[in-house]
Amino acid sequence: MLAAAGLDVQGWAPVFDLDLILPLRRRPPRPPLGRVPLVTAVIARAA
Amino acid sequence: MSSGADRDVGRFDHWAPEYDRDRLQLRFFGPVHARTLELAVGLGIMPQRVLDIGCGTGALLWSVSGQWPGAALAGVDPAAGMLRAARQAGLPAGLVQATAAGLPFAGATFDLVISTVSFHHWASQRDGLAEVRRVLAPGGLFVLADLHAVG
Repeated sequence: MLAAAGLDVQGWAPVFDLDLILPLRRRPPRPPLGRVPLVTAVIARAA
Repeated sequence: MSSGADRDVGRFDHWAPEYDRDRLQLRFFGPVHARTLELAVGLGIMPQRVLDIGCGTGALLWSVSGQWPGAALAGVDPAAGMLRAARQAGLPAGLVQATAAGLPFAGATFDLVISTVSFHHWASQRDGLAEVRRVLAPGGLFVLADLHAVG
């Protein structure tokens, strides 16, 4: 969708992990990397 | 605007008077803003004109003004109540009630566009992204932070 708009994706980055706000007893099993991403950023440049 | 987007705007209008005091600011929105700005700063840019889409009460724009004091700032949000709160707080930015799909700016106006936890509310993400591209100057950057799995 970004590319179709003329925005070239430069990269992605984690912003906020779900496990930071869930009460401990409700946390899902942690994945191998130890993070449960909730918010992710994409950086794009106008072509 | 779709009825879902209309409902979202209504919710944010209702939330606006207490929005900045909500505990989510400290636990969620604040860290998201800080990390997003960190990513933008990490790009090594010195933007002259910055737009925040879905600016709410302007918390991120306050941080942007501290990071790049010389930059001209603008924010759009469809919820009039959020913009009213931002103006009352004295946010040093041009604020306009608008959606991403209808940005009221000339083409190639901004060299940095930011949006945090807003994209999933956009009634037409495709139209919004086209507008982002239109208002970005060639080579300008877009930092979009939203709930995981932005497409």
